[in-house]
Amino acid sequence: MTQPAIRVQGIRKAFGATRALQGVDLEVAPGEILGLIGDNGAGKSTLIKVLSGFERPDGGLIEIDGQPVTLRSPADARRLGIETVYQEQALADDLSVMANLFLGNELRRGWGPFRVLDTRRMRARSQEMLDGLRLRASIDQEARFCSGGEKQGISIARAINVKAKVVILDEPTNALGVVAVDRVLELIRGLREHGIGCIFVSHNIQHVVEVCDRVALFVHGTKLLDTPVSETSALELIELLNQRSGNRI
Amino acid sequence: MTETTRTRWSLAALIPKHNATISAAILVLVVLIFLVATQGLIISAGSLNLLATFGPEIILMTLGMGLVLLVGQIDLSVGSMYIASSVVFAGLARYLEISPWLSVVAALLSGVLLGLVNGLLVVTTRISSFIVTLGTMWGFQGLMLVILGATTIPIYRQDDVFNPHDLFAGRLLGLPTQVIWLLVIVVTLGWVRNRTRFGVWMQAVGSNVRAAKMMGLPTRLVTIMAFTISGALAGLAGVIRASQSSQAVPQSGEGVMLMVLAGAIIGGVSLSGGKGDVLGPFLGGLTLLVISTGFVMMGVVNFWTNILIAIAVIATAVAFDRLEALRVRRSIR
Repeated sequence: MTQPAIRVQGIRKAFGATRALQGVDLEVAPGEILGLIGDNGAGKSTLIKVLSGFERPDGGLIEIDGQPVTLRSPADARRLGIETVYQEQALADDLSVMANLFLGNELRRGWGPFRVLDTRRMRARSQEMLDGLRLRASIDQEARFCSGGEKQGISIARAINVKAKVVILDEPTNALGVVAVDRVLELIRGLREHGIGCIFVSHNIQHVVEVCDRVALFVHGTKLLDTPVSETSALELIELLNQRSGNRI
Repeated sequence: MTETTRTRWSLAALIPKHNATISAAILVLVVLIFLVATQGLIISAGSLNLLATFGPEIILMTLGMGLVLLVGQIDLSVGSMYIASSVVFAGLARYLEISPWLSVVAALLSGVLLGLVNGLLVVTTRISSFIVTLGTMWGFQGLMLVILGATTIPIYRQDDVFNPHDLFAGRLLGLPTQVIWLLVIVVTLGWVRNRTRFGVWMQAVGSNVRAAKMMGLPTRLVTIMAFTISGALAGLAGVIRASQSSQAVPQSGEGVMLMVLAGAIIGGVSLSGGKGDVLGPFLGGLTLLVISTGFVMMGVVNFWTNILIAIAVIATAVAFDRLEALRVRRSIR
């Protein structure tokens, strides 16, 4: 049994009287894709925020590669190998694709306070990164001129480049066209080869079933189901969602 | 391959890639207008001397404003910091009889300190910097007037020894030293902006602070630094001012902030953050100075300056906006 890339145990988080997470356990193996589904308010986004360092949990344990960690900030999370790809706003739109690929991780040369950006090396590396994922965006174009799919691709390229252990994808297929969705799902599958564990959060159960190895279903801050995708179906999951968290509209 | 050759010859290739190109074009245009209007007087030795003597301090502050706008904030207190620094210099030298050199150091530090106060207030209160610096604009000046009153403070210079006047408002290699200060700072800040990680971070923070935070950038530190640089430059501008005029006037500085803001906008800096470099605000500030010097040379009432500046600001803002639309259209195809 390999060590899980990330393991969380008994994570609790409350906002006032609202108990967003009521003791959640979860683990993802390297190269495994875990789908996270649940209705709005099920606690998915709170869990993502905890794992990406934006919120601190009230209690519980997070382990990366078997080591317990404390995530005080997004910077902490990133340093420890957790990359989060948000549906929107993952890139700084005014920066070039290259600058985004290396943001916070710039290659530099020189000495001490006089270190400068090593543009030549970054250019070569970012071209390699895009080529590796067969992305067509130019490394010099500003990120806001990229399509939604390209932006997701760039975020994924960034995660691979920093050798992330876990990538969290928050609704990566939202608002994308059909072709772009296929492309993004393909990129997510590609994370397997890099041994990166992946948490795929989506409302689109079709996409989850299509790409994930395992699926976890959240209802009211608890995990209701955690099963290999091969042992369930989109229909069954939708049924379950409707039963347990529906009736609210 | 064919595709690139084709675009190279299309009209799209004429769209400037950088806003600074537009700023440069506007500067050239303004210079040409005044060449005609003043019958060449604008490039006379007298007018250039006027520009070189009084211009650098304004441009220094424009550069600072550009960086603060780049990180998505605004600094309305530049004028107050500028005057505060000149008053610290003059006040310490005159009333406390501290050595002029120490007074200069204290004045420069006061700029850094006031900028730091702005930055810390913005970052810790999370109130918009427009409000915070609107407050400190009044606050810094009020504090000064409370302590010193609205009286002009003369600085006596001893002409026989090397003193701060020679360093900040003297001459070196035939150039006013303030021009040399300006050039050194333009080059340094340009280097920081374009060649270092910090430059990229400033732009990232201004463009998308959430993404910057997610990528683990020290977004608060970057914001504080931008305000501190603005304060430091206003401090230097104040020292130059006091050295140049051998006095400090606590109740002055009116209109400086708006001029500086206008210069940054003509320099292609966006009020919404994430856009702007060092060259642009340099050119933008210079443009405004050419306008005001030009009118002086024409002997026209000062108020015309305001009208032309107004036109320049709005016209360039529109130009940048159209340019942006063109770029978007080109890239979407």
